[in-house]
Amino acid sequence: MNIDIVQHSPALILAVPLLFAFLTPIVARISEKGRDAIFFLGLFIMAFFVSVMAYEVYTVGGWSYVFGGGTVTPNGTGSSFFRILFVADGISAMASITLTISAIGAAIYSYKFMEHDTGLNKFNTLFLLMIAGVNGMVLTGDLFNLFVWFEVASVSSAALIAFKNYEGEAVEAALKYMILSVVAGLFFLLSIGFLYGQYGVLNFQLLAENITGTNLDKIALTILVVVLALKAGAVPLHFIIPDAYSMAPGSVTAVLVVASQAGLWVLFRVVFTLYGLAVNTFTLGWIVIVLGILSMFIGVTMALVQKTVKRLMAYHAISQTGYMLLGVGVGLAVLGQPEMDIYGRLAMEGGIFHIINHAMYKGLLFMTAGVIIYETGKRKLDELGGLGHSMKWTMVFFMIGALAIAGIPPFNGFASKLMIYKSVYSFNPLLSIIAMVVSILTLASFVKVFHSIFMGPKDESVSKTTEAPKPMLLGMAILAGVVILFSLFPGLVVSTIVEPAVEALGVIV
Amino acid sequence: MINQLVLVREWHPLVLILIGLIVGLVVYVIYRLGNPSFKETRYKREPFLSGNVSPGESKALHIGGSNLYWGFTRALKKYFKPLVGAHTGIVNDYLYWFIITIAIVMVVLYFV
Repeated sequence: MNIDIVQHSPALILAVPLLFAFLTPIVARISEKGRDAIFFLGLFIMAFFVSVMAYEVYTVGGWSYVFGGGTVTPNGTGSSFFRILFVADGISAMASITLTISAIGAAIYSYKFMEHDTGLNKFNTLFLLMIAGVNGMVLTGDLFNLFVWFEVASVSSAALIAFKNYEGEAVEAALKYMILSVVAGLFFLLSIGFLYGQYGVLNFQLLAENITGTNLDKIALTILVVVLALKAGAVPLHFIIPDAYSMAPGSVTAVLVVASQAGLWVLFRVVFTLYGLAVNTFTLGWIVIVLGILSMFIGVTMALVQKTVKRLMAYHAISQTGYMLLGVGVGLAVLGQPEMDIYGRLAMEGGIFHIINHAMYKGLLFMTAGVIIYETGKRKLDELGGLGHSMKWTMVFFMIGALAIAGIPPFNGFASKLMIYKSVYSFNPLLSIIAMVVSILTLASFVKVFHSIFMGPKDESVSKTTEAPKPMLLGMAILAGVVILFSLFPGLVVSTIVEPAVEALGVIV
Repeated sequence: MINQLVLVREWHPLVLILIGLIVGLVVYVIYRLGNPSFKETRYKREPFLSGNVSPGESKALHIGGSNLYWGFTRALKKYFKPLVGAHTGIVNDYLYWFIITIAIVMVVLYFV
């Protein structure tokens, strides 16, 4: 029985949130408390299956899961040739772990954060659908299902961004997000068509064996890279990120960060696993590096001039995405160069380690911003001040997140950035120096936020504010706890979950 | 593995924390060696403003977010003006950037 659960865990990770997403509105007709219980039950069951899958991947190895059983045959004669495929490997395990931690933290936080809103049945459904969509993106083993999950994640994300529809800007942000997602999704479908038209297959494994680098392959690759960079929020495709992150509810933004990262995971699968050495990896690597550098620098400098707390943090999210692209771009650029292989691998490990670090501390920071807006009703930095007097725990959580994002030792952001600095320096010192300058600017920006929000005299407006409610503190504490854990044992995290993810990019198991 | 070289041989967060605790202990010992007769009063706590009267605690003294780094952004206004201007908030522009990026990446992948 246990063996079955392990084997079916990739499918169950998707089936559980899908089932509970549509179960919550039904239960809500009977009881609101029952609805909340079902919502959390769904999340915890999903977390159980993620743990089962991850344990198997890390102890035994990965596997491909075919819906309905059977195997995939290269010549298309197998019974399961067109069946839905999932891949349980280092990438999907790490991405699912990241999503699960963020989702549980955000769900607990939401319990209080959303209590004044109506339509919570829909919120729970959309939240679970978004999680299923993101999990589907990272677990899928074929391109068409990737497109389907991409759409599921995009539609549910857009609806959640617009959830506080009494704030007009939220609806506007969601509309923009939806338009961009639909256009990007159609381009994505076009690229799938180019590949399917040539090779008659859709799954990654078979495509990787067939792709030779034809002109159509290059067109498809271009579209895939740009669409996934848009999903990840890389400059100059980042415009929707500040709009969406700043207007989504605080708990949703924490998960939206991970949803954007799904674009990165898929991008890495496409450039390494799908195309690999079939195209000029040096050129492709440099394209990713340039996207990374632009994201880092423009993201952080745009953050410096922002006047609202969540918009500022959104630009920092773009900037941090740049580090991930830089690390993996260097890994791609040196692919096939034995003398640089070790630095390329370290750069990739740094970039991928930074993904999970970023999901934790950025989620935490967005939650602290949510608490501030929840307690004061204000978003503008100029209107805030002195909250350190009344919101001590929130201030502590903010400091943990801010120090981690700025790469201050001993926090986890420093560990992953150190790996990126050292390896990228061996490839091109200038890139490493830019990354360090961006880190300094990040620190400067968060000093500004900290001073604006938490410092200052205790006046009348401050005395009216209170500390965040306990569920919100617990949600933040979960993410802060993970940040501290990763800060104390970075070597363990790298050897346990980051190295298998890097290895998974080589070949699909 | 090289990551072990970086993270384990060169980067020890626990050692850094231990050093921090030792430094903290030294600071505490120095603090304890201070004058025990010292008593904190209002005037001892307030900053010295070249002999001017301290305005006390007031919201007006708090420097808000848009005032911090104003010199930095003003000095770099030639950089910031076009950059901020490019963020129009118009979805058509977002789509232009998307198409332009596809075109650039395609050209680079073909010819470089």
